[in-house]
Amino acid sequence: MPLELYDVARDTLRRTGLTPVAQSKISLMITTAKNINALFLGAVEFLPFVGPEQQLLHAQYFQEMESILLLSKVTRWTQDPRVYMESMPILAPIWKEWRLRYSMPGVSAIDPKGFYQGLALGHALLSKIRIVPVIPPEIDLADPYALALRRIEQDNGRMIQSQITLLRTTAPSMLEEERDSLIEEKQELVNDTFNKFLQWLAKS
Amino acid sequence: MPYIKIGRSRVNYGLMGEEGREVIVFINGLTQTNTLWTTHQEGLSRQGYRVLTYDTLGQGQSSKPVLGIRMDDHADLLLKLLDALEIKQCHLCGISFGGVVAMHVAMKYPERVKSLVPMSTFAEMPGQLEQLGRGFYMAITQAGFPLIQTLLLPMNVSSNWIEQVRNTLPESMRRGYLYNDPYAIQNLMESYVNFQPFAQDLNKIRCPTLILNGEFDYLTPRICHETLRQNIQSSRLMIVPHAFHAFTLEYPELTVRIIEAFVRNVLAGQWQGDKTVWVASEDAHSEVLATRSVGDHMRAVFVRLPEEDLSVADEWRVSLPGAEPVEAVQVKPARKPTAPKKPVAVAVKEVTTTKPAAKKIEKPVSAGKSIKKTVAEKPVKAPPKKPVNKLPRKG
Repeated sequence: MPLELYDVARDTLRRTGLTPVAQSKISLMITTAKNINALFLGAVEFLPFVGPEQQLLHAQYFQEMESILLLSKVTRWTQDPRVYMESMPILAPIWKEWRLRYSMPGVSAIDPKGFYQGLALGHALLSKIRIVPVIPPEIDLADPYALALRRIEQDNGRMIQSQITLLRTTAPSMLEEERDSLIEEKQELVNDTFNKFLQWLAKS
Repeated sequence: MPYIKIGRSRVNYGLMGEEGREVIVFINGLTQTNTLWTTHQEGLSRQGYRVLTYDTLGQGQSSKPVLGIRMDDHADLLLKLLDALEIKQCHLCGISFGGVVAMHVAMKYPERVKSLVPMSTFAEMPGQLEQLGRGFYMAITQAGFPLIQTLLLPMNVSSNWIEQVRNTLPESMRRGYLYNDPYAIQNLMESYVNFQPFAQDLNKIRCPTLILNGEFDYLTPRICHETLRQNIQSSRLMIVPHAFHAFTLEYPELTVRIIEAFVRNVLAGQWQGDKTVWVASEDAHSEVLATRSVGDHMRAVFVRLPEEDLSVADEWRVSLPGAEPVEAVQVKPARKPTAPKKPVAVAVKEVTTTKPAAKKIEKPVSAGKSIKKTVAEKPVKAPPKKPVNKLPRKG
């Protein structure tokens, strides 16, 4: 993880402040991550093989929806359409990952291995997308937008406990190496996306 | 920093110093990265050593497995790293969690470890440490990594140090947050929660071992190091004065000096692993690097030694509730101070009494410029004739 990307993005925000463009970029990144995880959670929460952990996923689904709602409400969305256009190629890889695995032909296609991959993707989204270090310290601690970002990141740390537990305990038929490999693949995907996002944010 | 692939894991490491030199290896503590050893690495390599630092699995820029890490994985990883770098033997230093790893390596692969420096570490978990571990675990799973950082800082370093770095602290914390993935730190913590004590296996460590413990380390207190001292055969315990848990960070120069002196001593075949307890100098440049500890090194206060006879004026006598008032007892004149029989070191900077006639006596051999002992020369006032503190009688 190149720390310089964080530093450059923070320096930009330090110079410009949390403008509508900057807020829109950040919110597009976070709400995309939350939407993808929520879509997976919504699709699998009532599957019989999930077992007693279903409760955890059910709770996380609503928590993710709450985060999306919170961020959508506090964001000062830009009216510049270019920002939304520019976001597409950056965020497309993680949307594509979701579509490949879970969108068609639907829930019935989600087998235990697919379920595991969804958990791994959720883990990567919750652990690798960390915005708080990009917020300059000069931003007012009570700024509603910065406050929402901090709260969401703190919630991520709590929610990820479900993924950590389930990634260790489910899919016992899969070899540890295979499980490791799937997790690593998702982490690389999210890392790449997030690094591109930071570069984009630095251009605000 | 370069990295190396070991199996599926990427290991970030830094190696400084020419090939063929004696190799000293440093292992990080829980939330550290190998960049925190830079001063030590530079200092020791200037003195002719080759110094290896690396991020353990789950830390810094090395791989961060999601499915968990076993304690043996850490020991095996270091062995493979040494193999990959063609290092046959090393002097192994580890702090805190890294100290646990270092001891495991020394037990599992004794032929690879020439000497060992476990610092601020433990081989079993006393109740307090166990409860702290649980608290940290709750903090990271329920409140996030910044809380762990905030809780650990005052345990790691002194208020003085915090004051010195106050302006740069938020940025250091931010970088610590970025370097560390909370889930990976959680994994490392879980290996603490499921910690298997290994004090009974410490006798497998045969190499010269210098155990270092900060005077005020209340994260891994003296008792943890006492277990190591008692069970590691060729060991000595050295207390670093004024230091807290992360003394390597606060006193890098002194740490380098101690480690270099120890390694040199081992290489010269002069090491005496006699399980004695020493106190390091407060001055990293002092000719006397350390002195033998006197008194009970397990205590945090000075306890009168049998040969230290005190006068009544040194005692605060208070009658027990309901008992007769304490009458003045026969006054014994305080003894004239005598020079200590052997060089002594004390674990606090100065000991002062409240008596104005106190006289400082410089010991013939001092551990450092500010290590002094003050001994009462003569009581100025006669002891009180009536009870020092008369309490009203009951009834």
